[in-house]
Amino acid sequence: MATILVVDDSAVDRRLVGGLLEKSAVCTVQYAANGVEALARMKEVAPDLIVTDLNMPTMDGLELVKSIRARHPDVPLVLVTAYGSEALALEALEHGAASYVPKSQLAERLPRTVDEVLAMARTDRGAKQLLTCLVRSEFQFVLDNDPAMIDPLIDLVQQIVAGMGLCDFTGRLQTGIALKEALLNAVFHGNLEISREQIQAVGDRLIGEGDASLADQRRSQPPYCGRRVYVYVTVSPAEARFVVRDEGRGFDVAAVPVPGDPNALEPERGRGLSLMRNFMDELRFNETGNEVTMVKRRDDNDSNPRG
Amino acid sequence: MSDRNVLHSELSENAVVVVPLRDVGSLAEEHVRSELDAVLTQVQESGAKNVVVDFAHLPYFGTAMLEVMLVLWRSVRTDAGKLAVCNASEMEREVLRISAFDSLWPMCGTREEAIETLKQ
Amino acid sequence: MTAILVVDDSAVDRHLVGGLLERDTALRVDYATDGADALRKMGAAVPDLVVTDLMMPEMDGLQLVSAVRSKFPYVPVILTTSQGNEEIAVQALQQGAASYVPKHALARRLLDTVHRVLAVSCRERSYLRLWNCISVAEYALELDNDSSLIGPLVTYLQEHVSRMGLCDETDRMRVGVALEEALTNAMYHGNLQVGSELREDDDRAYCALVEARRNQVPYKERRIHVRARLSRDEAVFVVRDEGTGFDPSGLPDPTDPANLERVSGRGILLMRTFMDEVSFRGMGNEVVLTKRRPGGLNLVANGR
Repeated sequence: MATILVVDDSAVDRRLVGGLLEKSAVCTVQYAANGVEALARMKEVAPDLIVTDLNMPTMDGLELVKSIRARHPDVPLVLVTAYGSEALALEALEHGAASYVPKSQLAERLPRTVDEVLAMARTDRGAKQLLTCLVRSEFQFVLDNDPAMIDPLIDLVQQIVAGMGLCDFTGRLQTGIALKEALLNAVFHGNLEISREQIQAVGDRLIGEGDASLADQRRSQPPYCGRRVYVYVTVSPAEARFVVRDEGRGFDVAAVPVPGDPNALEPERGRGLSLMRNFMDELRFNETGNEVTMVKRRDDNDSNPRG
Repeated sequence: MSDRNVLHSELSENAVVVVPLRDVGSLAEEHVRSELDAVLTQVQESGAKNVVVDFAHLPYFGTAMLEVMLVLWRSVRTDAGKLAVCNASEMEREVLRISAFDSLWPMCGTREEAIETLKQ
Repeated sequence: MTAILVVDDSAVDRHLVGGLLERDTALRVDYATDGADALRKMGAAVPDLVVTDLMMPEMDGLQLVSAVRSKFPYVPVILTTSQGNEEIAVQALQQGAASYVPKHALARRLLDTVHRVLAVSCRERSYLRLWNCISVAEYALELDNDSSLIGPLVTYLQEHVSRMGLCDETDRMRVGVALEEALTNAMYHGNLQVGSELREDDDRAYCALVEARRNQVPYKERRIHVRARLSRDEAVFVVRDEGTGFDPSGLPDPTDPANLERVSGRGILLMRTFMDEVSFRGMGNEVVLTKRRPGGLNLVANGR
């Protein structure tokens, strides 16, 4: 049975909306007279949906929308707007309200709107619940040397890792950074044979805008254009395992300088490897140096390595 | 009736027209069961002779919907009533054909055709 | 260069909007006079984004939003609205427009809004391109006997089958129905051991038994094990329950007139029809469903 919180500063309007909801659907209705009261109520128990007036003293509807999206992102909001406040309604929708119903059409449209929004929320919850049933996830990627694929790949991996509850936010961040280093190495050092300093890197962008950089050129030239990066990702509740293999000529891992070495010719490389070593629980290269295996274990297993 | 999520129904001439709004996962789901009961009650109390199932709002379904249709069919069969299907998508016709239910229930184009067919 | 299509029936407004956009030298602007003209132009060259007025003759902004959503689902649409059009703007947002800018705030907000929407749509398109780089995706899940998990799981798997390019829209629905049958069988017949004969005779007793068993040992501890392995050539789904199994050959033939009024056996018939291959393993409590890419083998994207 759904619980709906009705927020309105007018007692008459509260009863009107509440009565309409109770008549048309099986649900429990709770009331609050303004945004502050609504937030206080939600500290105890979050409703399945909120129906709120837009114009209220103390904390108006727009403020309430922003607060709810920030603190209770799973609870959808339906706005009730008086004539003339449509522009405000649009702004509230931009800030995340799910839908709106003009006060003049309450009886005709509120029940149906509430039904639809509740159904959508159920679908979202279903998807989240499903992630908790995931026992293993495996992916094999074949990348051409387009750095634009790196961020989406990291995002996907982080979603899966998050769903499996492998590590906390920091752990996921570190996993993402280490994986990104490995992928950048594979694409630039490995396949394209370009050192990172040779690229105009601006923040996260790796190919200069409008600048026919070396990377752009090489990507379309043989033998570089035929080379691929193979990425294998296996995530289970115990660990996330990554194998990244490029088709370049490899490198001598032992010869990579440690960070801070003033004689280092390629300090970036040393820094990258150092990040990977620090952020992963296990890191090893094959003999040629063109394949790296990284393992990130579940947080509480850190002190008990699998044997 | 805004409280129905799965099976909308309305009376039309001497038939109850059932309009599935969502696919039915299983007859064992409580809300499906209660809406189906509401439709059966409507059939009984209205004295309607036939049932029309109108798929205008649902593009596909599985065997659970077939079970719902069987229950509806049985409820009118005792008084020599019949069931007809209308507005089925190509895939839905395929399901009814594969499961051989098309030999039991006529498949019509529009709702009006279905109601007419059942009058005969 | 990012291509933007500006749609407005007023030449003055087109000029205004276009002028504001062209301040960003990375944007290239093209124009259309109404919805129909816009769709024609998009058919010839797909823009990265559309900025459209709401009120236009022939095909107004709302219809354009719908049309773009169905024909060019990856092209975002931004609306410009005059005073008094807010209700329609809301409708358009709910129908899929990405954002809106009131006409009186164009100078202040248009470029910002365009940049924001482009950033998001670029991320989404990159995500879709990433799926073309996936050669194998495999998932293993364990579900308890909660029927509310089946719908989301089927949708999840359907999306993946689509993303891997293994089927079109119709096939997607059929795969969904087959998967739902397999999961429902596993849950009710398999784990809860509620036979379909009971369902046919007395469906109320069936419901009561299902509810009871959900809370009884050993039924409530049984799980459904699902494994999905998708490659660019095929999707293989394995659904295993922890029940005592059954003999699939022992099911009545649903196409036999004598069995016309019974539902049992139809689920498997649907599975066999909608998947390319269905086989049972173990004691009948494990079913393997295979859906192949139509038209033969497909080389891995980016591969050789």
